[in-house]
Amino acid sequence: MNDVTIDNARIVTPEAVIHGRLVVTDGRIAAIEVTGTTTAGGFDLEGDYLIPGLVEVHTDNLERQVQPRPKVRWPADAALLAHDGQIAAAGITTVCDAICVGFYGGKRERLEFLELSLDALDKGRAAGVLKAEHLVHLRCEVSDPDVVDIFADHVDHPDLRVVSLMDHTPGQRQWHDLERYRTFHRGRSEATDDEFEALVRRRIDEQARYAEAHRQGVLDLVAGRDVVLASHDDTTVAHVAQAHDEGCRISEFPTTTAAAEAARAASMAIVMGAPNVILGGSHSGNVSALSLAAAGLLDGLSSDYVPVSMVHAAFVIHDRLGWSLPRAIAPVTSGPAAMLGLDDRGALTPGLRADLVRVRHSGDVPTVQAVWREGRRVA
Amino acid sequence: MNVELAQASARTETVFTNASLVLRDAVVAGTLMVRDGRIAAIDGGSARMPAAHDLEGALLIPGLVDVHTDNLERHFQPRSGVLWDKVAAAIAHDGQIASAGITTVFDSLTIGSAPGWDTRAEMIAPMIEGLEYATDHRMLRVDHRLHLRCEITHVDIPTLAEHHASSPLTAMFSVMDHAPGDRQSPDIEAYRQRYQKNLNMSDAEVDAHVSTLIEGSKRFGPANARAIADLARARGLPLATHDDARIEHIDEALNFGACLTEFPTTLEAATAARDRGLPTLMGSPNLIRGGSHSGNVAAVTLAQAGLLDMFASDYIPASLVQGAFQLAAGETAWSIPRAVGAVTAAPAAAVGLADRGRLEPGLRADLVEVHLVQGRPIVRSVWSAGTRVA
Repeated sequence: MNDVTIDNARIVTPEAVIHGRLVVTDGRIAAIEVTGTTTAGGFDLEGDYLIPGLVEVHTDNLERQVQPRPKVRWPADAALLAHDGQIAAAGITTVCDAICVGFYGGKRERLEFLELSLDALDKGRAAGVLKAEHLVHLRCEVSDPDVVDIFADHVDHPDLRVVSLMDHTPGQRQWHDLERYRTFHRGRSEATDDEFEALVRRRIDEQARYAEAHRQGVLDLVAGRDVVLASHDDTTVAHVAQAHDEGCRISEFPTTTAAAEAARAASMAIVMGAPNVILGGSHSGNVSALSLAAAGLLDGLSSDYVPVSMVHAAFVIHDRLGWSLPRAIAPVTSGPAAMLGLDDRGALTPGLRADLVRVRHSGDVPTVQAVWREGRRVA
Repeated sequence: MNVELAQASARTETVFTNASLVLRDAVVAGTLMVRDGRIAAIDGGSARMPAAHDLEGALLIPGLVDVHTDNLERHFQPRSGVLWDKVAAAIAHDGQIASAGITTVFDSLTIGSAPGWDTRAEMIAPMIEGLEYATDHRMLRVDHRLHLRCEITHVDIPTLAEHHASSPLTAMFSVMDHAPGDRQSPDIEAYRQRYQKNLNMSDAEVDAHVSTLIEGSKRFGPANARAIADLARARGLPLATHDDARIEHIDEALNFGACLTEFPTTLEAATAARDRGLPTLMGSPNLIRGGSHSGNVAAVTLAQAGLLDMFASDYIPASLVQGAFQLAAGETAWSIPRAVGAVTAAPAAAVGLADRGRLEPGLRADLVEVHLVQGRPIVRSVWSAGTRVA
């Protein structure tokens, strides 16, 4: 099963765009041929692009489905199905669901969210109902008083692939601009100005008390395990140097060019948010992903909070920076696959998984027309 | 037949076999044939054609018809303070809708909203432009129309409605009156507190807001509602009323020529609607959550009382199919055809779409393959007018 022949496609291989046919056997890419002919029973792409299934290292989309409106909690299993449907519709066939460990701001429901999400993922996978392959990315907030204890409970999860070290304390990294933090925070909570000031003070105090020890605590738990470590929102050369020393292989969302350059020099992979590319800059006022791409400082793009932004961003880079398509799609396919150590996917090469996306690029925005995971049509 | 013709007809013909076809009154094991985007034939046998799509016993139901969802806005404003590319937002919304098994969607946009309400006035035009562009460029998977939710407390609502109704996508109107003291928020003080807390406002600001709504409702409400009803009638488009709470509201709805009552807030209003033959719609999130977020009558209560005709996804697209199968499985124990009808045939009929909503020869081939896994409906594949879209 899972045999399919795709004809009349503009196939984006690692080297070139080839007009022709891609043959799938047993869920793997069996052959890619340059040809103008079509096959009886083949799937005619009508000249659309065929690119590899996207590989996503960090999405917060599951959490958005669990809490679709402020104060509305949705059952985690139903939320997972809704999330999975959106992910597949966006052309993502491998996704690391980012789940917060710590930094609940006193809100216990976010801790509950961690457990419910992992439970829903386990059940969804066991029931065979998920369209994309879901892996787990635990975002550890090192200033949280309980982060190490909570993380210890989940470090053995069999699908854990990425662990990131975060510190969202206001006044540094992502939130070095307190005014932007205030604006962002106001949009999400009902806090008064006084409550906001108190929150900022508490965060800074907690950072001083816990960050260093808890960072080490998370690192100790990860040591010797087959997971990928990432550091988050690196702003200074020192942040990157520390992350590199700690074994981080990914710098996620560096906020300055200096940090990205340091990551490059340290051979760490640089991941930026695809929304940053679409919006023409970071919503928190940090370095633009497109400018990092232009400077050769970009290895991966993550959808962050908008699943469809990945394929869109690849085509924006193609259109605006004049990169060839093989190069422009690398940050959403082969780049993240390599970071995750998944050597069986991320490129249209015979022998690899037949994770495939049909993309039409006729108007201003590319559209995902069809998606196959291991040769099976999922969207 | 020559080879070219045979290939052409093969391309536009699809056969679904070994399906559990959810028809109007029964679930029938059989085969359904699609030709040129329409259902060509249905029969109880199984096809042995090699190219037939074998559903292995899975349910095949009509594509869902969602007459009220605010979901587009969540994609246009994915985060507080972040406004997305208007075309990309339409495409993202469309992908989520299709993956939920919805093949006809009325994207509902609130016009005449008050400060702090979900949809801000300046977001309306770009959201409509994005949908129009994506529709014109054939970028969307399913059939999108606009449902203009008109807040009649707003002094200029007839002009605003007339303006937005110039979009070729406009296909439905509803009249809403959010003045506290009636309908959705009978308790003025509770509304005051909720609003103040959400928006971090001073007492004076909240007082001004509340009195603007109540004033607006009294001074402009009746004439505005009539103007919107006249606009709908002049354009031959369906009209719904919103948050009906009393018998007078239902009588007024009938007087306006409304085709359905959306989210009635009391058993009394829903009973009056049933007695007078006005179809009743509730939100499927209300059903899944077991109650209304504003504390009004629960959808499940109406379903148990036999007063519920259809659902809309409101703000969670995937809740529509889930809600239907919950009614089939829960205490209500509706038959699968009845439960599925509440999200397909009933809304299609209410808004006058005669070409869809049922598995019958001649209708659009809007189809959803549903697997029941531990009682939960899993949307496996979706076709819109015969084309696979999810």
